[in-house]
Amino acid sequence: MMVVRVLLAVAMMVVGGTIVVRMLPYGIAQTFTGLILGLAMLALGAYRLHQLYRYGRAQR
Amino acid sequence: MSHHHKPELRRAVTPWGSFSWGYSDVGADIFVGLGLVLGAAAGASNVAFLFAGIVYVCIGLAYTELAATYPVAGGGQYFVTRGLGDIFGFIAGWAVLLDFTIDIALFAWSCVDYLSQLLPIVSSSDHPWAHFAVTVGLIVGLCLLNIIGVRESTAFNGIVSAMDVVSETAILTIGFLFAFDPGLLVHTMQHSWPSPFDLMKGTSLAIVSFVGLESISQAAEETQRPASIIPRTSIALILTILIFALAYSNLALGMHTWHAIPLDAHGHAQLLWQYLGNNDNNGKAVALIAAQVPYWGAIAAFYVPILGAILLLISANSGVFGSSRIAYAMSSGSLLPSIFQRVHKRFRTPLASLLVFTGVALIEVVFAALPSLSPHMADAYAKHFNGESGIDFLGDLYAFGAATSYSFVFVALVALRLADPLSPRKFKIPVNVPFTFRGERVEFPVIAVFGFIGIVAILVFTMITHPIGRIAGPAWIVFGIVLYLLYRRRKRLPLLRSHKRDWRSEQVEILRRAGELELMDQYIANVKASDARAQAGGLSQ
Repeated sequence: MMVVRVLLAVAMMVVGGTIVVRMLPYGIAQTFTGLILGLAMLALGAYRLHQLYRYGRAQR
Repeated sequence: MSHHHKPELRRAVTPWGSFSWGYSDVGADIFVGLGLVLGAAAGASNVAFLFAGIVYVCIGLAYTELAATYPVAGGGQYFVTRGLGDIFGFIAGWAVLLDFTIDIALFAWSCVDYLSQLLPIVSSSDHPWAHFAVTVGLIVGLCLLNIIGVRESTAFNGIVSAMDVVSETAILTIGFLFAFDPGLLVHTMQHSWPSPFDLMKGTSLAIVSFVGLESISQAAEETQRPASIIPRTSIALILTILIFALAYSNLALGMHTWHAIPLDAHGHAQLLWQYLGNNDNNGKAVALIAAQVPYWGAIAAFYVPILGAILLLISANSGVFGSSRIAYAMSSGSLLPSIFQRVHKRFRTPLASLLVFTGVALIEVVFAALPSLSPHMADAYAKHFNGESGIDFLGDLYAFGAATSYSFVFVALVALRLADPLSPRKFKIPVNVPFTFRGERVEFPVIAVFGFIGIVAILVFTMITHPIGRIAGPAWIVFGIVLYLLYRRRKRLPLLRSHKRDWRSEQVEILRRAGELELMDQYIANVKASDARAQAGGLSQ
């Protein structure tokens, strides 16, 4: 179960990061909805990984 | 037996259970909302989802705070009754009841739409009678399931919600990594930007994708230690749903399809968003977009319609669950007759509520199905309601009910912050302005004001752009108010004013029953300190 949780968080960060990197060349005004989505996914993925890391340490 | 216990709703929902009650309700919304919004807001669908999504985050935060502070099954109507009084509480609860009955009807309807992707015999356009019969059968079946009990369905919700989160993440990940083209997104937004009227219509429909937070506050009463669990589960829920909705809408506008898209009815080529948003496909848009994703689409084409159908069925089930529990709570608060409070002796579920509100959902399905079942009715709908289809009819009412009840919830949040500063709030909406009000330190929630403006804007958009929503929605509210006044007169309760309740002892009882004993002690201490301050103030004068 833990592996699935980590994979979901990593997938979210990879996708979020990819969206941001690919959208930036088109300008913020043109792609703001996509940029918000990418940043939100990046932030949520990172937050989730951080949470899982803390949870894992507490378990040990 | 001399000792008589009043039957109560049993506590059976775990943290994951409470997330999945919410997820299976709100998470399924995108399966219905995506096609409807693409059909209305075209190249600005992502903007419509973003606007509705921001409002939804504010609503979600408001619900999280209120449900964690007052973990009772009433949800929105309880908060509004407590903050603004009985009549407003009734209107908010009645609007939510409309939404839950629509939830049953709309999601059972869409469930059959998704099934029709694999079983064309139940397609609403080709076999309307079969579609109608299966929808009715599903609703009756769900009613029976709920009469039997809650725990069975909670476990099932959990498994399907987990499968759906993994599946949607896979579809969106592969779609964005291999088929998404930002240039195409920008091009679509520039060349297919809708008229202001269509953008308003799309935005009001986008809120359909975010309805259902009520169910998490419904589950609060049945969750162990709700003050700690509810904020965690509902914030996870809000973010998951927001990201999925934004992701699907951006992907639909900017994805290169893996297979050729069929020509439209006039033999013209169409883009992905046009294909997903047309009348034949808008009920099953997520299944169609999943099938267009590279590699994974080959498998997704088969399982997404099934997964979507199951999730929509669970969402319809959340409607059955939610409406019965709201009616139970409204009845406990003397807003509805006591028959809605009666719990079945053997199964301990509210039988009368389940039967009545499932019955209302069945009537709504009949109204929604009429244009496809009878050409005569189709003409009447075309003449009076701009030719709205069955799914539009349900979508209109859904948006109206949600916007109405959520508007009240924001006002109630502010009112409760001022009127009840003593209740411990384990979670508070961020950004507050502290000041002193009637001798107590209170905090004014700034975000609630923005949320209120946003949701009222969506309510206005709904009234402007939906011919059925603006007639049937207010008609439902007026009908409810008449029933309410008759009931209150019969019971010799104040008609427009609230009857007196001891909120302080009720709050202690709520926290005790929820198992939040630390918060209960804190509340009692706050009340004592406040009384002492008031007494000291009185003596010094």
